[in-house]
Amino acid sequence: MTIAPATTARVAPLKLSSRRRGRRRIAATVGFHTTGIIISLAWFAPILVVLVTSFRTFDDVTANGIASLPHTFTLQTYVQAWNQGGLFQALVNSMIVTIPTVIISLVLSAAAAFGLSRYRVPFRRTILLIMLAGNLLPVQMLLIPIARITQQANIFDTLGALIAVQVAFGIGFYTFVLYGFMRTIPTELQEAATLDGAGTVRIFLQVILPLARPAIAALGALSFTWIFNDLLWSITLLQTSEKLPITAAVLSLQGQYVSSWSVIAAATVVAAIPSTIVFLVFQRSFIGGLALGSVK
Amino acid sequence: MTLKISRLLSVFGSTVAATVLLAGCVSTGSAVQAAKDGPDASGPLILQSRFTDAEKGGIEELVKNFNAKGEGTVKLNSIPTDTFNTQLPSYLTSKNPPDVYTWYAGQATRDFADQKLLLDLSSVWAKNTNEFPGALHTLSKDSSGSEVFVPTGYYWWGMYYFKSDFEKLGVTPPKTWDEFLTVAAKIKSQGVNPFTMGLSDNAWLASAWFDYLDVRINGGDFHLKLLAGKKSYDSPEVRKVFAAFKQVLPDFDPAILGTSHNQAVSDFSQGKSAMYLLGAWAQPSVPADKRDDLAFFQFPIVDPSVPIAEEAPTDGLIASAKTDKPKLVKRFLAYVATAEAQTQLAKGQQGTALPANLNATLTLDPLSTQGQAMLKSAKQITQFYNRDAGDAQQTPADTAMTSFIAHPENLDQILKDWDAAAKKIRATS
Repeated sequence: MTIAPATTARVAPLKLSSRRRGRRRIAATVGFHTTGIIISLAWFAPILVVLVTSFRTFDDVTANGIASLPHTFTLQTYVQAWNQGGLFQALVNSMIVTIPTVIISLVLSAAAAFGLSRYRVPFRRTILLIMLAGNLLPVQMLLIPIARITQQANIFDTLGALIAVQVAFGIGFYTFVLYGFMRTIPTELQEAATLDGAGTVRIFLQVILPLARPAIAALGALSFTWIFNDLLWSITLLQTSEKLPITAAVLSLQGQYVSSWSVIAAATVVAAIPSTIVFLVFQRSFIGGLALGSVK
Repeated sequence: MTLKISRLLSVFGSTVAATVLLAGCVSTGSAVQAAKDGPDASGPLILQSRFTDAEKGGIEELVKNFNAKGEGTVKLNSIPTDTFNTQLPSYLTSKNPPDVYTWYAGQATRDFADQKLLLDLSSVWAKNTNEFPGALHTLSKDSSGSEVFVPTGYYWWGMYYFKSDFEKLGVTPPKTWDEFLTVAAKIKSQGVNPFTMGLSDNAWLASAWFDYLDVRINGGDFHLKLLAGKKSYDSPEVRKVFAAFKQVLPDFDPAILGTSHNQAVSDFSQGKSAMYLLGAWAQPSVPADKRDDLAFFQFPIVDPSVPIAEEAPTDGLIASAKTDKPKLVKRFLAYVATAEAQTQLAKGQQGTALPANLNATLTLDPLSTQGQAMLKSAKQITQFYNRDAGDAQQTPADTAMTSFIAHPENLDQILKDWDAAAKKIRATS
């Protein structure tokens, strides 16, 4: 934050320059914050529009346009979204899918990453690359084959199928990230634990896992958001309306010909609450975890 | 480093190969079986519906009334429309498909019937053929002549406007193409967009203009032949359609390609745009206090020597050939075909559809009366682009219309591409 080069050029009027420097610093601070506020506003504006729209009536939005100042205030949109869209059942479905998926995929990929990073497993690099290569394939390419597989396995149209597919898809990337993180944990720790008589399972559970917590927490928050917000897999693998998760429920408020912006906005706000809470709870480890994984 | 890259490539390659192999294995796994004879399987009949929330009132009532009769249980399963439309082929070819589906009459249904995916409903039709107009009966048949569709209702298309806006602008509904152009010019001179469309999320709305201009210029027979693949899009007739469309193109809101349908309706309701070519379903989307002000006129006559054809898209139900409850399906569909059920259904649709059954008793509001009269006076009835051509053909039509709106000067290339795309879809389906 020093503006040194400019002042060293003119050494003589020292007092004046220091005063000028103070003024410049103030200007810089003001500029920094103004720009910051403008950028945050630009980011926040769409969310604000959704929030405001969700409290307006449909007729107000249509008659005055979405960009106008609200002429009405109503909570009816939330009631309508909640009842019409079946949001409660949809939220429950989303949770039934998301929570087990996050736990299973993180446990499995932590175990895989532990093995691959701490032991000389033959072909460990190939294994890792295959897992990652699976993630490079566009999901759209796999929709039909996977829908057929679940049909033949008789799990089509079940939440279990969705969990299985989401776990399978997440695991490659999570393993890759955790592998990178666990490699940075000093081997001395593991050697010390081995000398103290700890077995593989104990080292994993009591040494590596606690140390990998920031990375796991960050991945947990990320994967929660991804899976919670997924729409494509759920509408491909499910066909009963009561089993659809929240994203599909929001979509179902969009009518064939007529859709009410305000009701959809209200449903969107409801749908955004769980992932926002998870993000707020995990945000500290989220940022820390990302940095830890990448820098070392 | 080179070693790493080649290893990565080989890994990637083998993954792709494995996936393709896997896809090949499974996609051959589903064979179509005929409906089984003998008693029905237990459990409720699944009615897979694309009508969501705001629109499902009528159909919910229908299901409730049938269940109250005690002849079997029907369970309504509402799926978001876009999802439903794209997933319907997967539903029909899946191992345990839902039993009955909401769908569009015409080629859209025939496409599935030709793949032997639909249940033969001739026994349902045998009971009450006389209660339906002959045209709807024809529409409900597959290419071999057996019925596979039960119509529930149909609606009209019209050029919608607000009476008060037209008064303010000093114009009256035009009847001919020349009057139409004059009205548009007069509206435009007052700083209002004569027409609007919301194509960013509903590109298919542009097909309404194509359909109407084609039936007005080349007639309904040519239109149906063109859509069935018996005529070419790259033809002088179709060029005439686009020449007429080019005349009105400057009169559209310049932002139609980036406007959503909701936004366009909002602009229309606020008087920023004067006219919107829409189906009857549009009425509930204008604010409640402006609904009495809403009116429509018949799409103007371009060539008086061409017999008048009107668009009347028909909705109805189809059943999967793989259903394990064919008897219940037929009982339910026979109920749906009755005048009583169709009256109920039409009541639930807020005056946006006319019942298909001739004996249905319903007090029509002024717009419905006008719509019904317009359809009755028409010499020929077409449906809508995707219903007459087959739903898969809608995508190339959307591409053609939107590219023309963006770059009218590329017409030659657009028509060539459209024709090629339509042929390709026809060859593979």
